[in-house]
Amino acid sequence: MKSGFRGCHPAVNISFFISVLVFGMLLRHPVTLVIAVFASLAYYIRLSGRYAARTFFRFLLPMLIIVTALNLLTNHYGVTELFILPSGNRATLESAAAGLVTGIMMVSTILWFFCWNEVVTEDKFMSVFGRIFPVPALIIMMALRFVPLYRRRLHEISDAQTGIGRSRRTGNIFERIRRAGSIIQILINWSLESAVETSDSMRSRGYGLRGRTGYSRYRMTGFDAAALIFIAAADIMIALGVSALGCLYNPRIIINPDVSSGTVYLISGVNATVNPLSALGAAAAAAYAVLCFMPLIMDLKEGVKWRSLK
Amino acid sequence: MRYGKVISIICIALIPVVIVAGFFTKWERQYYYTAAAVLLLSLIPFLISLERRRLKARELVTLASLTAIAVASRAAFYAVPQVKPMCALLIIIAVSIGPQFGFTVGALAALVSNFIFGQGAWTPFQMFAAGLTAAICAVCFYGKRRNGRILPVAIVGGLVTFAVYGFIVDTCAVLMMAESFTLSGMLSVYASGIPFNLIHGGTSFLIILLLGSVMRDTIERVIIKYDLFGGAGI
Amino acid sequence: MAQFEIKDLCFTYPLNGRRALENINLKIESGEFITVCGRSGCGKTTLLRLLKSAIAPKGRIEGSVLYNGSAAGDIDLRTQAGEIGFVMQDPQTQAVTDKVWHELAFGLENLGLDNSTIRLRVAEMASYFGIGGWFDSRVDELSGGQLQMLNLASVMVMHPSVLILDEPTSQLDPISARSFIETVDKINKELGVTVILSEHRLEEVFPCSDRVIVMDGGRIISDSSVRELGATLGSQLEFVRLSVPSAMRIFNDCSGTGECPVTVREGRKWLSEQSIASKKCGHKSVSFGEKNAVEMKDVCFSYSRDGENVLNNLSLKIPEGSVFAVLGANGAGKSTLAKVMAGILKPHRGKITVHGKRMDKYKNGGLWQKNITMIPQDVRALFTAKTVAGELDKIGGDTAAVSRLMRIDHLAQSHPFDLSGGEQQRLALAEGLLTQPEILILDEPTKGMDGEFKTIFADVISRLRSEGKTVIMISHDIEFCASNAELCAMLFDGSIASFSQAHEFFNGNHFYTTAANRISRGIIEAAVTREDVSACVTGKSFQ
Repeated sequence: MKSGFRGCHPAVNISFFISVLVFGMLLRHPVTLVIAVFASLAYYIRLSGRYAARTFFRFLLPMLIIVTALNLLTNHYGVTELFILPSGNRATLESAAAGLVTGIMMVSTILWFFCWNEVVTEDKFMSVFGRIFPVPALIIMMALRFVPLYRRRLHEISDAQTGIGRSRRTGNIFERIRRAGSIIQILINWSLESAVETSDSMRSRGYGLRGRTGYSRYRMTGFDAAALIFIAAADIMIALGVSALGCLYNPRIIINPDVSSGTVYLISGVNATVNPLSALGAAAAAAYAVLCFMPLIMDLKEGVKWRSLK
Repeated sequence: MRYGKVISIICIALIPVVIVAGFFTKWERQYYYTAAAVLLLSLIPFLISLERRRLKARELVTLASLTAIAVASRAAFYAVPQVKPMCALLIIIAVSIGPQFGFTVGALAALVSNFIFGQGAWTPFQMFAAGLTAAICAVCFYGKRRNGRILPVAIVGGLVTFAVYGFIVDTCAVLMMAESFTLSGMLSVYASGIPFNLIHGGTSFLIILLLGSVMRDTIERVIIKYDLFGGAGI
Repeated sequence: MAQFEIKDLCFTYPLNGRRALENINLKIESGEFITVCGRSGCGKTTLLRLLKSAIAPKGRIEGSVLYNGSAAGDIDLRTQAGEIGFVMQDPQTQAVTDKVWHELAFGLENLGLDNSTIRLRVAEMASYFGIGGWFDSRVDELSGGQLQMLNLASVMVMHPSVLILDEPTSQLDPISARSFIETVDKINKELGVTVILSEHRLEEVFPCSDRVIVMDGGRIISDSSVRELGATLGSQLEFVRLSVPSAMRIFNDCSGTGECPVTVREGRKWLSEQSIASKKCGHKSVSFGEKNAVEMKDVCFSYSRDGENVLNNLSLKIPEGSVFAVLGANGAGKSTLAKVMAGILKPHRGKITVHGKRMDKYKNGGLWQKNITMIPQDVRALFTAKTVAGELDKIGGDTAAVSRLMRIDHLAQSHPFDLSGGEQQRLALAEGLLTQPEILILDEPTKGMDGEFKTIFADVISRLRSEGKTVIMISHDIEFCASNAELCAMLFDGSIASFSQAHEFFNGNHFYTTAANRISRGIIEAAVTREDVSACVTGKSFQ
């Protein structure tokens, strides 16, 4: 069994990822964007090590730059002109900022999905999904078992056809597709016929009786329950603060909504307004930060414990 | 069971409405709501229907088997570069087993293939796109003209793959960027996807044209032999 | 009261109106170990499935099957699922879920047990079967032997009182088959579970069996203990004599008296008490011409660029016109070697010549045009046509004669996938013969064949040899190779570990050799097959 956040109950894992993905799409405040991208990157590095850093620099960073540039080149709204494009259109600070925001949101979303793929294994997903929809879950599980089996069978069939002199590896695209077709045709026959034996095996072991239960290897511990309560509390806190963290990038940049009191910073050269962060907004951002870093904190805490036990 | 069917039809019909509404009304963060609505609407009905109709063990295994065949089929086309046969296979399967099961197999095939290649924000979109592509073709051709010609299926299949599947999957890319994009920006994303979708639709057309009738016969033989899914609608 | 009581049972399949079972009368007591044997298609499977109505074939049933006094058809599905366990032939198709732990839990989920009960039972069963090491594995990562063991465990986890097994080892290699049968025996002896098992390969099964039921043409033709069967072997049908353990066969050939030996140990004891006519078994040394059908030199093969070499500097010469067998354990690379020899897989190093011409000089598939043909292990990979006749016509030639020879002439209009496993194998062999190859490569040809068809198959091989063709067999079947191959090679760790004429090969091995050789070792010199042993004891010839 895995330790740290990966060792938690699947319900904890899944509700965590749903929370960060949903709020990651809703929040466009610079502070929350920075929190999201750092938390997701740090946790992905923790899960995948050097490979994660390589993905970030080779794939995600270029993507961020491209999205920003694309936005800068195709959108011309905003009030702060940076320079004039060869096409005669204006390139504005506002469209660059909006592009950057979109890019960062995409990067952190993708990073969270990378982490999801490491943490929420098939087993975990199925144990939650199977509770709600047992029948589709069973179909998916069988399909997941069949895919590698069928891939092997496809190779076997292709080899067998070659061995009896029925196939040439060359030919134009029509012949190649036909060849693939006869291979798949055998696979369909073979697999659907043996599916009958699979279903006999299911019935022989009592499938179809009323009151089927779903076995789960995961037991909800007190720690898991506490983690769930924490996630729920953080979700509520953040949801309350979503509007307090509102930002605009079009036509002009306004960070935080207007409040009646407090200092308003007008960065006049770039037409940006920074209203003060309300207490609610600050609390929501803090909750978001703790939520996003929760897996990393769990893992690190366990790591410290290991070291102290040595 | 009939209740489930009604919900399913309502949900499927609502999907394009929600998409259109999402695009042309200006709510705040409308892309997010649109995406969420599409996701729920497309997933719920087929999950409900699968739960409600007490499928025979044999039908369950056959659905899983067909799903896995569609996902694994890529390995058979190793000699043909740049071809994604999954949609074509899903269409042939759906034409043999009907729209509802076709949608199920399509959606599950997308989900299962993402278990192998990695889940992402695109998962629900691909599930829905694959399911709908299969279901549309099944509505047109399921049960009619059993020994009918395959050319119409290939033409419709190719078009649907190009237009419906391509459009929905590209929409996912658009939605991820939509907040800051204007209509022209969105159109440029769709436009950039056209060459890929053309190739996809074209290869689907070819695959269905060349292999469709043989494969349909193969699947229907088993369906009739074991009396599955109400006997291929004949 | 008997656990199963079958009275005047007849069964008719609806499609062809064929009577699959005729007047079966049988009583099975709790705790018995019963072996059912018979040719392919004798009705074994039908009989076994009728004992469990959840998977009984559809058709007309006359007579009755009683389970603990009540009709088998009336037993509710829950009781059946729990009490009557059923293991089928193909290990791959029986597993339902994708993970080992879930497969074990599947039946218990169906029964509606709660989480903690399932956890306990699964843990218990995993420990009993030694599954702990691969409890977390994916089902598709398991070997055939492990998978079949898992299928057995996931039936046993439901605590059945009867275990029915339909040819459970026919798809396994001999080592896995033996350990599977040992486990079934352990379940029978330690837990008192009734075992009803059907099998073609009886060497390992007979010593555990209390009773042997022989079926033919849908009837029970003999129902006796193993030793009684041994005593009456002379009056049994030919196929029974062909399938029984070597010790019993030798005893019968030599018209032995007293108690019939069953195991190798008993065979040795009996043999040492006999007066033996000739203490040395002579073998004709076969010689071949200079020409080689296939010659491999320092061949290396690996499935991926960074992967381990499956074949490692393998060199091999197969003379033209020989019957050549490659033996070796599971995972030694036998099937890979066959595919490399057949030109299906390309080695990354080394040279292969076929009839003196380099393999890569054969262009446009010329290698497979009347030159090399390979029949794969799983023959279902071959069939594309809608009928057997269509399948054969695709190749052409004298299809009528070949289908008569392979005894599939009555099936011409059937769909290849509607045939039974044995029939499919014969169809594949027919296709192989129709391609008229100079070199015929067969991967595990005797898998699942019954004793009687093996002799027909042996005739086909010797006819090919007399026509000057080369036959290459990849096989686990030691007994078959010993009687039918001229040259044998042992594949180990990706290269040829030993290579010699068949009788020298088996005589040189201590463990990896025939039962007859193990029985006669130290008593009769150089006897390999049971015919050898019988001939030496009596001084007569047995062929």
